[in-house]
Amino acid sequence: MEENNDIEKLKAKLNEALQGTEVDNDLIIQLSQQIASLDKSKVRFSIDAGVIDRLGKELVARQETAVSELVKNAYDADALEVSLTFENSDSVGGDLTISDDGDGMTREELVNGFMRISSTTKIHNPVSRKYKRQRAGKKGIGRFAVQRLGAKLTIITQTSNSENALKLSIDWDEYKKDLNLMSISNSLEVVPKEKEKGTTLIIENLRDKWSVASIKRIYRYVSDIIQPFPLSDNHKVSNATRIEETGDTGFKSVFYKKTKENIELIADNDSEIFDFAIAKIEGWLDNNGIGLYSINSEKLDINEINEIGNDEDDNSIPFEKIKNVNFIAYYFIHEKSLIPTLHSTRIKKLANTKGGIRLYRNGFRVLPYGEPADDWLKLDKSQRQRSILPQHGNNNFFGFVEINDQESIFEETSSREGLTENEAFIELQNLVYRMLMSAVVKVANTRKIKVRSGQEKDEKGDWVPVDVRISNIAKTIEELEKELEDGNPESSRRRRRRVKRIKDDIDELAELQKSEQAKYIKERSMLRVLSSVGLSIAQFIHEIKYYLGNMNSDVQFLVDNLEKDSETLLRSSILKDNFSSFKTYTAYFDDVVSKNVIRELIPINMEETITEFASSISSETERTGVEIITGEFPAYRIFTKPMHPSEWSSILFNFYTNSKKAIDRAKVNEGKVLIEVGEADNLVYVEFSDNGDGIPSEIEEKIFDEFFTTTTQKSFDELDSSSEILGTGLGLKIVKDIVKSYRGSISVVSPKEEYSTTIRVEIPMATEKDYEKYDL
Amino acid sequence: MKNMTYKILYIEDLNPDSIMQELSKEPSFDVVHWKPDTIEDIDTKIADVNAIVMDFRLTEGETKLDGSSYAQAIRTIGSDIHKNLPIVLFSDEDKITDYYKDFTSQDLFDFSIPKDSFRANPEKYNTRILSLLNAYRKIEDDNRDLAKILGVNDVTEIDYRIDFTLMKETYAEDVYPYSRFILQNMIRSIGLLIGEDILSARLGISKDSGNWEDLKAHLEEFKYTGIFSDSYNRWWAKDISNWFNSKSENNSSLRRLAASERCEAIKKITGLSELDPLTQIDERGYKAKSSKFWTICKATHRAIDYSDGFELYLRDLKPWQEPEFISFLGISNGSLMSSVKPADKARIRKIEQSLRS
Repeated sequence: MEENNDIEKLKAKLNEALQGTEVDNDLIIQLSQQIASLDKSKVRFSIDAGVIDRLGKELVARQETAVSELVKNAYDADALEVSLTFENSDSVGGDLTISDDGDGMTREELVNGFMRISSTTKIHNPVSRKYKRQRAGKKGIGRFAVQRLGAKLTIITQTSNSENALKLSIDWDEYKKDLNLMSISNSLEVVPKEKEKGTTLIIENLRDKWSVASIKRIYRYVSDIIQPFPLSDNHKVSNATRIEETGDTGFKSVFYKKTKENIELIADNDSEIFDFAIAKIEGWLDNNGIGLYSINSEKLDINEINEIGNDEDDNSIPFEKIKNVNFIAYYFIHEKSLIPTLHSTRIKKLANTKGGIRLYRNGFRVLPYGEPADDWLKLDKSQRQRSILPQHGNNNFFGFVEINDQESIFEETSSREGLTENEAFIELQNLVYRMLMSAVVKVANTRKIKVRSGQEKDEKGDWVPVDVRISNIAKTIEELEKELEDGNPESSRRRRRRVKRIKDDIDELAELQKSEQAKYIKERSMLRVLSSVGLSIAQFIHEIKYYLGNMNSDVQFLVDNLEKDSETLLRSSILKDNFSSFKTYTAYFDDVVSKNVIRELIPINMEETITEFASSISSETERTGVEIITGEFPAYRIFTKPMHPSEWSSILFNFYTNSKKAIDRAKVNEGKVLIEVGEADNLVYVEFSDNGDGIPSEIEEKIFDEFFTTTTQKSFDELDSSSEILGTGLGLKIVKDIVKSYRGSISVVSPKEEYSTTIRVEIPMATEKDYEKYDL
Repeated sequence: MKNMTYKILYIEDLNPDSIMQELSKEPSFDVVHWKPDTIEDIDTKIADVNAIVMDFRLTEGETKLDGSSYAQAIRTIGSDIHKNLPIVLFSDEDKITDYYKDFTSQDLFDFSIPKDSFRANPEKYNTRILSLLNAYRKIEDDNRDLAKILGVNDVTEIDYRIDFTLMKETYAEDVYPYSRFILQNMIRSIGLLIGEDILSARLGISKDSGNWEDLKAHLEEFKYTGIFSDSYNRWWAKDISNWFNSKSENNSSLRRLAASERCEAIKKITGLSELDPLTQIDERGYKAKSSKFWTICKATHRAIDYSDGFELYLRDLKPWQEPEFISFLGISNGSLMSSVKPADKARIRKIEQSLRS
């Protein structure tokens, strides 16, 4: 009876709501749902609003991942540029504005796409509308990413066809548990357009702090989709036309950090890619058909303009067929000394996939020039033939050539794949190739002069490497060889000079060799000291093992048989605790020693390794109160590529020791260490987190490098103070060396929730072949 | 007879005091230590003892002989003077490494105990040693009457090949091969006898059930009572099956029923209400297919049906022995994969691949 009454009451309320002058849809939905819930013969699924928060946390664990998803969304919307501004983000509660010039969203797309959970737009359209980009964003993650990042979201979006913009505001705090998801509404307004097209996301009240290091990290996360192609400043075709008519002209993201005082550029293509170029080369044809090119290099202090003619030996002979040519290229030398280790892998990867010189004709990209397999300027061929020694393959350049060809000097082939190889095309190839080569030689000469003038050290204080010098000598001999072929007696003086140069080079090399050798000897004696320490430990552990067992049972006997409440029992119990943590350490060393007996490399089962590690130090952790938590392992086994079993003991024990110190320093009551294992992209990863005092963001990018230098500077003379061996420096260096030797990577990543430091190690997974070979 | 004391000789070149104390916790043991100097003394040393416990790495003495040389000598002398001595090896390693396995497989030792395990639980292992001594005595006292030794009415109830084998000359001369054969091939292998975990798997009932002890009491008559039953709990597998078969409605067989069905049937048969059915493994995204449990996973000791297990090849099986299995999750953390039969390895890889995608 009562229920009927209720229904009647609700119906009445609903009627009232429907007839009111201002219709309150929230109330109507709420009432309808209440009425429906009293329906005794049918039931419906309902969704708790808390699902948003849960999905957000589960789908997007890490703050950088969340932002990189949003950058990818801009890419998927065919944006050419996206800018991210972090405002007052040094502490929690700042703002982030993400603004792109992509397609924007229509009302339909906003309502049925963004606001519809689990919508299938991206599954249905795997490539982007205009530029046919492979969509990079994961399906349906975007909305959870914004929720993960901050408490409030405002979206302002407009398309080129729309007259106005749409503004959607969402307050995520309203999505609390125990509310029905449907009953929460968000305001949607029509506002004047702020730009031609594109979407702006304003995320307020950020849940994390964003340091410079963490912002830079996003750039690296998204670097796969960045297309580092500069646009020339004096291009004849306007960007708008280019965007309308041409193919994709690239994608870049720019990161800013804004405080009350100023706005600072944190990362963009310049700071993260082009700044590592050794030189920027710009070229064009003047009105007379003479090629002009400039070489700029801050690193080598080159800043010059040169001429180039159609004839290799005469710069005054103009190019006949071609005109209106512009070109820009960034030149990269993939050498350790020129590109910092932190960036080298990323830049090299980018160069291998996107490197080369692209060609634009009347604003249209002409394919396949500049694509990975293309070698239209014969750079790779020339590199293989070692026409000149310095690196000059396609992957040493990011650049493009732009031709304004209204007279149709160039013809597209009938298959529409490239241009016909007519005289003009050959001239163009000739022009660009020779400009590039002149610049490369200039760079090489400048560098070589530095090497020659030589008693110089690089920034780390190391001598310029032996291999550079050897190639210098080879180069000089090569030149000498050419002159020997030349019968001209006048060149004999030059020959003598060359010979002298070789002698000088060899003398320098001998000097260099000496200093290198001294360094090796030093390092070798240090290793010898360390290995004898290792041997002693091994022997010691073996010898004491028997007594440890016995002592343990003796102590146990005391504890079992002493009178209750006596002082002696108390002390014996303490003795027992101390003894058991002592045993933990010896057990660990015993494990390492016995695994060291195995010389061969085998694929390592990560679950087994981590579980064993956790249990081997369990009694120690019980005593110190540091809890070791292992994340859930996948049901399937995860194997690394073949490694030495004891290497993982070293890695894990080093991390653990560091974590313990960090936890001590932080003075937290309940120390926690979390070890998680998984696989992604053919890599096995281990994430080691602790709730210690954290790593200051200023040094987190460098710690592994820095420790490396610290240890090389500190010599083995200081080794006798035990803290030097046990100090973090050497430990992390060893870890890094191990990881690197398997072509893995190690880095500080943003900490897991409830933790302050997370270090991630990646090692290549075992391959199918390994599975067969090792019978896994 | 009950209060007989056994004299144990502990051969150890390092300080033996702690271990001797632990051994002496067993009231019927009188432990003496011998630090071996020369192997010549051995016959006088073993003349009046009942069992030997020895370390393997005996390297401090002049002779530089290892444990196997001593064990060999004790076996030879013992055989000559018709003195049957059990020899238990105390090993230093936590895991018995291959090095040890080689020597234990020479049948010199009755069994081996890692020292750490012994120290952690001396009572358990003292019981094992005592049980071994009792077995030796019973084999001699019963004059190798297999029925009496195994506690059965009639030897024809068990596989005839056991009796045949034990009547061979090799087993007739000395006690230790006889005792060892029964220990390794009947007690410590699955087939004729099953332990508590497999009993629970076959009944489909969790050991944590409130009435589990009562259920075991109910099945008391099928318990193995022969030698070593004082240190190993075993039941006659066939008797358990037959019991269910004869008592259940429609005379159904355990093997064909799901755990929940077995549990319900057993509740009816026994009148015990607090019995919980075992459930199949369902963790970390992997779910076992069947609850018609018949064996246990070697690594996790969880109940599995053969169809969810992967067969291990650990040793040559005697005709009455059943193979051992490992479950899918048992594989993920351990090194037994190398012993999995090749066809089953391929099955594991398939499951792994399907879970990955």
